[in-house]
Amino acid sequence: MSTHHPLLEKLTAVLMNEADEATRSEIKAALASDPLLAAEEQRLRATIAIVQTELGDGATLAPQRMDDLMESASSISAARSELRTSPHGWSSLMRAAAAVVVLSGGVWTALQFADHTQVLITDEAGQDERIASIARANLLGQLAFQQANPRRPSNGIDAFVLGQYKSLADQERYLQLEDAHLGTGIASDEVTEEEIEEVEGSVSLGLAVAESAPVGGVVLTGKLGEVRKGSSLGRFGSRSAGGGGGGSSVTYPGPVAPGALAPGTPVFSKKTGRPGNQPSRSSVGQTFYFSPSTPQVSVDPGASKGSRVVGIGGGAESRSRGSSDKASVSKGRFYGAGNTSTSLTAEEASRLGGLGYSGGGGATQGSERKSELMRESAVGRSLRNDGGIIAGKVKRSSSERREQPTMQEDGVQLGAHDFFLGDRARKDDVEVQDHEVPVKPVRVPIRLDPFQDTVDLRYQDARRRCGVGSNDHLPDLYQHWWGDNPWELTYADSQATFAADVDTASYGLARNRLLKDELPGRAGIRTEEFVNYFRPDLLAPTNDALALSVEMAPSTGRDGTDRWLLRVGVRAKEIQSWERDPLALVMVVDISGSMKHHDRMGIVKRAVARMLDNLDARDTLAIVTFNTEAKQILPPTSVAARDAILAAAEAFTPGGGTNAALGLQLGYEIAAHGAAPDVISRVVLLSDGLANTGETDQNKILESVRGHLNQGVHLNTLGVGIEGHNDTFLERLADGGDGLCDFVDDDRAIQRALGDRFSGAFVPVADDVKIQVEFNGRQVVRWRQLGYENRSIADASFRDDAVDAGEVGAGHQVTALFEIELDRGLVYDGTPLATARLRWKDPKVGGQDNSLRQATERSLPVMAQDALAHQGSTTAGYRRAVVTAQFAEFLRRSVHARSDSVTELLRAAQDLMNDRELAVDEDTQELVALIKRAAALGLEEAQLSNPVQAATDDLREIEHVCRQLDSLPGRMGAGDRNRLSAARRQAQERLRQAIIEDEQRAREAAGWSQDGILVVQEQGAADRR
Amino acid sequence: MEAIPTASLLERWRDGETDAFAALIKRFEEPLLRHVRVLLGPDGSCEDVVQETFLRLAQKPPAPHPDANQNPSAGHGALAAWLHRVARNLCTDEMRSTSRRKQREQAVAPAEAVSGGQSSVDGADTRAAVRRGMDQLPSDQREVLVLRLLDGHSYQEIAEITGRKTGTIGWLLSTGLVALSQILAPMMGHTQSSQVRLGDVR
Repeated sequence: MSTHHPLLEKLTAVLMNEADEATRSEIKAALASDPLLAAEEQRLRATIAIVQTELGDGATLAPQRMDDLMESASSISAARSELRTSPHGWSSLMRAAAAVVVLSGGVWTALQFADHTQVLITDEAGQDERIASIARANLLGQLAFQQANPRRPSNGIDAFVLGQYKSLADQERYLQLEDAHLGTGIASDEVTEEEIEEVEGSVSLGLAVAESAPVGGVVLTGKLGEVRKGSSLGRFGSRSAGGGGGGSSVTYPGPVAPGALAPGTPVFSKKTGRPGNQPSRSSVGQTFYFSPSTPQVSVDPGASKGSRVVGIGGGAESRSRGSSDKASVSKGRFYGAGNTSTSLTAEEASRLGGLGYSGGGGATQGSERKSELMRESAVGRSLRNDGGIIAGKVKRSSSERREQPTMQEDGVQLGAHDFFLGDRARKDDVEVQDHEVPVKPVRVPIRLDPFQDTVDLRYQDARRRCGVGSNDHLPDLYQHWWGDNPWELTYADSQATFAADVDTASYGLARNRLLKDELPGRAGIRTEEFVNYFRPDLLAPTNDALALSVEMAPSTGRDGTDRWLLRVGVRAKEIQSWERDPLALVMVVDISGSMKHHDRMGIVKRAVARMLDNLDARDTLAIVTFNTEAKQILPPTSVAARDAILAAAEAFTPGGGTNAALGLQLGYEIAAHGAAPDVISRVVLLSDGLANTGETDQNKILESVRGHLNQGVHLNTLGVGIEGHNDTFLERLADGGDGLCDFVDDDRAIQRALGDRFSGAFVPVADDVKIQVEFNGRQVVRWRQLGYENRSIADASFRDDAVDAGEVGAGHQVTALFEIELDRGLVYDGTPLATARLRWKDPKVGGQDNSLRQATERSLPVMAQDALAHQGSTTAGYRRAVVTAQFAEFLRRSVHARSDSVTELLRAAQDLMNDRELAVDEDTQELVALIKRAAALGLEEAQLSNPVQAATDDLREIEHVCRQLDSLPGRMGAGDRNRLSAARRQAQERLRQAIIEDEQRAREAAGWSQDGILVVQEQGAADRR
Repeated sequence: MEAIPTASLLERWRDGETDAFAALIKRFEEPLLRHVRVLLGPDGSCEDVVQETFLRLAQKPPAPHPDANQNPSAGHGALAAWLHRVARNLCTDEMRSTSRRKQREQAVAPAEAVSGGQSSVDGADTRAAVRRGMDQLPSDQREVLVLRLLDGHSYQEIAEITGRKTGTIGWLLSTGLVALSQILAPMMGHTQSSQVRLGDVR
């Protein structure tokens, strides 16, 4: 198709009398100089004329219809009040017509299916059995596919493992250097092989904590019993990053305080009294002691090999025993030990994430909290070192969340070791008798090769992390592992219920990053906010506040199953400015000192002016400013007095603190005063979001205005110049205040927030909007939802109107996507594939009792024939939503996107430009550009995981599928069972192999030779790696 | 403009005057039928949809435009936009619940295949030929052409009715008009499109 010449568009505009002066003269000149264009003009004129003469007939309604209408009008006029409330009805005629149409559609679809018709299922029991066997077949098919196509690993070394080796190498060098320096070292040949073995068996903890720096290395020995109680941090090593005084600057409440240990002070260590424990030495500062009774050693007499590995993870282990199962805690510790730093900072964590670990960066909302918790506790321990506090945190965590390894834990494979050993140690704690014996310091050179043990332990730990306990809730487990919504078996769970979300901040943030040539981190990519960013494409309803729509088309199922993508769209009524109720706005403007910077005051003033453009004489505006104090600088004033309002805004002079609470309270008082029925009353907070004086907790701030909230005053927040990354304060305020949060940092954003989206933000059409999709287990085998991970609400709460959900403003569009897997062989029986339901309440208005608001519910079936009819002709909006969601899944490094191809995504994105509507839509153009940019920045590579992670994920998927299979009724055939165990064994072997290769690469990179001897290099050589 | 402003009729109907309602039907039935016909095709439920549209006007008339008294055309435009939007949504529902669109596309296909035959169309069939020509256009172009050429809506109003940007409207109208002129060229005795050559020259 040839592209349309822009000149023709201008010519048309001129002919239509829609052109401006400039265009008119341009076309006039072009017509004069270009005979081709002149000929075109003639033809277009003729076409217009012929259309107008031939088609301009006087069509009228048939007299019978006119009579019907007038009859209706008369009765409506006579009894307007009753009829007004009658449901927006289809006339019986329409209903009959629709019925005929549906009927014929059904017949048509049945014919479509007739080609692969098999059996018509009628009895329920047979149905269940059949569904189960289909689900089984699909799951097994997925496994077969996965076996044939393992996850794509990169060839990179597991950087964390490398770090461990380097750390070991550093320690080794340190010991040797120390020997040389002091000149008192015992040469290795002076020590018998046996002694070395002994030392190897017992020394590791000392090594791990002694660290590489010549100062501050401290080893503590503690009492197991106390550690177990969680009352003490007991034995562990720490080195303050500041060097100098090292660990001694920190006070530990444990039985042994490192601060009390001066270099050279002999350390008393406990003897466990268990066989196989050799007295040994511990090291502190410049004198080395090896402590034999470190629990790792004492635990298992036969595990001297294991104990060496403990040296790597040593510091961590004691912590993990503080609570029963706190892998996340021990991980933080572990990282500290292995990397000569006691706490895992956010930056480090995110770096880990960048290295291909699925967790480090706190990739998903589900695990962010946990990651935060982990950081907190790590910091808590290293700085405050308050065992009680840590225990408290851990406890809270464990009561809220299941005690399972999380994504982050994977981020630190080695954390596994201490985890693993922690259990063993705990078991032995019971038997341990504490004796304290002085240990005579002996110096020995140390040779460690943790290779085989590390492999064993990593492997065992990895398998442990793939395990599914009988009490595990499968979808939760999936979320913990990967942070994504899982594939749900319809048999087990047929409903998805979630709150509408109209926020779009996630997209803006990702865009900012991409425009700076960085791939955004996984955290903060929310698929639903991506999809909802774009201009609505669905038709707005005219009667109801919201309209529901569904659209479905085949998806590119990677493993040959019959997969479809279902879009459930909710579109809010458009309200023209003349249709809406009057607005009573109170702007609460932050004029604190921080607003001086980056033209924030200028942005505020332009925002006020832009807002006034949307208001008219019906509306009022008041202005409150706040810094350390709050004051009303403009009483509620009709917008007719535009100049007075602008003059008031002109007078803002920033300075002072930020007491947002005071400003909001005053604002709410003024708003509540003006609240009236049929008036939309809103407080609009403009701030850079950094409340620093007065009350700074948004929940408390909201609590203080709670009474006004119930009077129907909404709160909108507008972040000024904060680039969307400091949004929590304002976002939570807006959520709690039943309003929206938006950001303005330049004129384009002002136009978007206060121009294009004005009525969406300020004119609510529905409150507590909930969406539920129920899948038909007869036809849909499995389904998964894309995004909305943290908007999900309990299925049973859908009709519970006390349960809060999202607000939707005029013209908004909310889109949710589901991938579903159909049973290909099942006969279409006329039942819908799924039913989408929508429930909402009318928005609050002034003075109305909240509890009186009735909820409205609509539902829409998703019929197979709809999807078939649209096959190959999906709407542009649908295609864009799919591309956007897929883009988001890539950016999230979603487990579902791992086998997808970025090339495909690019092609699909480019295809959007073939649509005329989308091709001229700036946002879509930008989306396509962003996808290209992300691809150029290595979006594909970002999906690769390190080989160990990839193999772990594969094994996890198998375990997950096995559990799903277990949950199905009926029995699995013997052949399938065998195949399943074979798949599991293969995946386990691949995992082991991946770990071996990873360790090999790491040890070589760190300077260990094949036979387990550390090649000591010049100072700095290892650092250059 | 009409003798009685649309906004007054609306106001009077809101007060329950059935005569005013009848006048509103007379005023809008033609453009609405045309619009709906474009969307649904000539056969079938066009009149159902228009009837339903007026029924909604009867049941729940929109609020009058605030400036209607000062500016009668704004009042007229606002109601027209409302009615067209309602009609359009009903059409969408209609199309959604059927596979009509598919059938339509198939029905139109043969006409496209023999479109060369239009040069032989004689005068009496001009009207049918123009209709067929219109039917060959994609529905979004067709809709915009009808709303503009036959009902005289401005780009702005069409944008409001169809929920598109005005820029898109101009573009759809222009592409639709050029395409239609090419389809009808044999009938009008003009030469084939110069668009491609135009593109080459510039």
